[in-house]
Amino acid sequence: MRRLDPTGDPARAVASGFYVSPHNAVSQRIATRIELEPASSHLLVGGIGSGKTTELIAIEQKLAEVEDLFSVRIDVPSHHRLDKLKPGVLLALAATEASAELKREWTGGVAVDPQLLQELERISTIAKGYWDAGHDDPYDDGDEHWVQGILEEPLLSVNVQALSEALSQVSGALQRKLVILFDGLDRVADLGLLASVLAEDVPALCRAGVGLVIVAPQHLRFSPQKIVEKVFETVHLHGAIGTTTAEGRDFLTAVLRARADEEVLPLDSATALAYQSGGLLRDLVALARAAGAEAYTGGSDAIQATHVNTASDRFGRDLVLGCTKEMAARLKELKPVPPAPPGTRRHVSPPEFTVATELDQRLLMERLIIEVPGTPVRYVLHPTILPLLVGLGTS
Amino acid sequence: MNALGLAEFADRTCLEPGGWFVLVVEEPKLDATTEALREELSLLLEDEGVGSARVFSARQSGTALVEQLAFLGPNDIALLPLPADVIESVSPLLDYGRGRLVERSRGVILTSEAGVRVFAAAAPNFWSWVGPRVWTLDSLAGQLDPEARLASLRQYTGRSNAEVLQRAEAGTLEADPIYAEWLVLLGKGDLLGH
Repeated sequence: MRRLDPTGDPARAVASGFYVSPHNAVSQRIATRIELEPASSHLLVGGIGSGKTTELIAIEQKLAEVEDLFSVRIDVPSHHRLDKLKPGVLLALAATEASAELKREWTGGVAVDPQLLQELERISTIAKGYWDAGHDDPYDDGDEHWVQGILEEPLLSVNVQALSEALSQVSGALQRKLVILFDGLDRVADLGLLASVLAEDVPALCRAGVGLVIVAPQHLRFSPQKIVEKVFETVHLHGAIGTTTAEGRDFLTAVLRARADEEVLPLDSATALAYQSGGLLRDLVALARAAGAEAYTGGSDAIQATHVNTASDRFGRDLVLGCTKEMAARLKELKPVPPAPPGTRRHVSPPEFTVATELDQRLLMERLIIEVPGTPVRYVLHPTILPLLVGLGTS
Repeated sequence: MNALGLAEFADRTCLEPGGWFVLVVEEPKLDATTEALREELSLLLEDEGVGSARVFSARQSGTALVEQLAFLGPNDIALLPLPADVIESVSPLLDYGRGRLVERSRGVILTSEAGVRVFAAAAPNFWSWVGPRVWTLDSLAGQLDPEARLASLRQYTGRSNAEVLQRAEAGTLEADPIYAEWLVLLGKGDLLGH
């Protein structure tokens, strides 16, 4: 059961051998492009629970095999409050990593221009803050005071341009090309703020010769801030795996098989879980765990169809708890209609879903509707809520 | 909605290290349920000999709250009641700080049904993390159904209520705890010891 943990650290899951590379994996495409063009920039957008972080880790692993590249994965919310995000934050984080690498090279015996060491100091003061003696201040009380850096809350305006210049010099002096993988920005709710950060920091990082992969939220693509995608060289949509193809189902069952063997999870149950997950990896593992808990409490050593059904029903009921009446009405409009038998009456298809309103975005964000990348991109209702749509929004 | 008794909910919470749960509670019962759950979990953790159940207040800076949650041990369980007046402001900060809680703490968010809708919208990443771990309390769970229990006793012993009463009055009923329970369920506890 421990191996079926949807909330575990993705890095640990990958290290434990649970990563299964999807067909045409976005990690492979981005890593190959960075190998060819180390200073290129890539935006990775996708739905919640679709495995964006895992793909970022896969990119990191692939780049680690390239001799002249040095990649660092940074979970931005672990270093900086997302509600205090502002232009310069990504630059400050990248510059701090570049400084650390240059110091490692220096202490490892690589000759470093003494002037560059001053740049390291400049990066540190701008990014992290410094104690100021305040001699230029006519109201100076004689005590030192702390000047906050870009990371955390700024008290003074900081020179982002200076930081960008310092990073250019430090990054250019590194033995290996620096590539930064920024994770966690998909949790930023204020898209206007995120766009302003990307619009300023991404071009500055590119000018400094730093390769970039940035994870951003799914709904950025449906907002007026979508225009910020233009600052990246490529944009990749990562989403659910299609469950309608044998290839998709095989991949999803392989993900489960990496965590549970046939004795515990027979193929039929694994296939049913793959379908019920809608192709979302976190939901797949969460459903498998819930089915495993049902089997355990029922005294069974293996996850059977009945356990999958119970877990799916419970999963769907939990998902629809977040539904308002308006969301319920929209979902009912989109409910798939089974084809009528020939000669009975004309089959009426539900309207095709397009993300047109904030309500539609909310349906996506809460995984009631799942985005399946492809040509064209498809949208499907989460399979676990389908049996519940009839009674939805009536109470 | 999926319902469980308090004891079974506490059992499930203890069984899932690293998991975050949502317990749906009527708003006026939020504090009392939080305390009852804390007691239930404390007993279970005491049996296991590791960890503790701690209640956290959402009426503080969201960042400070995440910081405190991140310092919990992997065996501790956080109880976080989210009343209607704070859930909208706290939820996004929990969503931002979710990464800091990975493999560190497990917990239970207690909120109302309306609160769940706010949480799902304002903390969609955390909501995805919760997955199928949303429960409401079944107030009848764990309560004895006297008629069902009497039927089970009749089936088990092959005796009727009348026969048990007759034997108790005659002083010939065996001194077995199940007959004592039977008499109490029939409202004839006064016959005990005849």
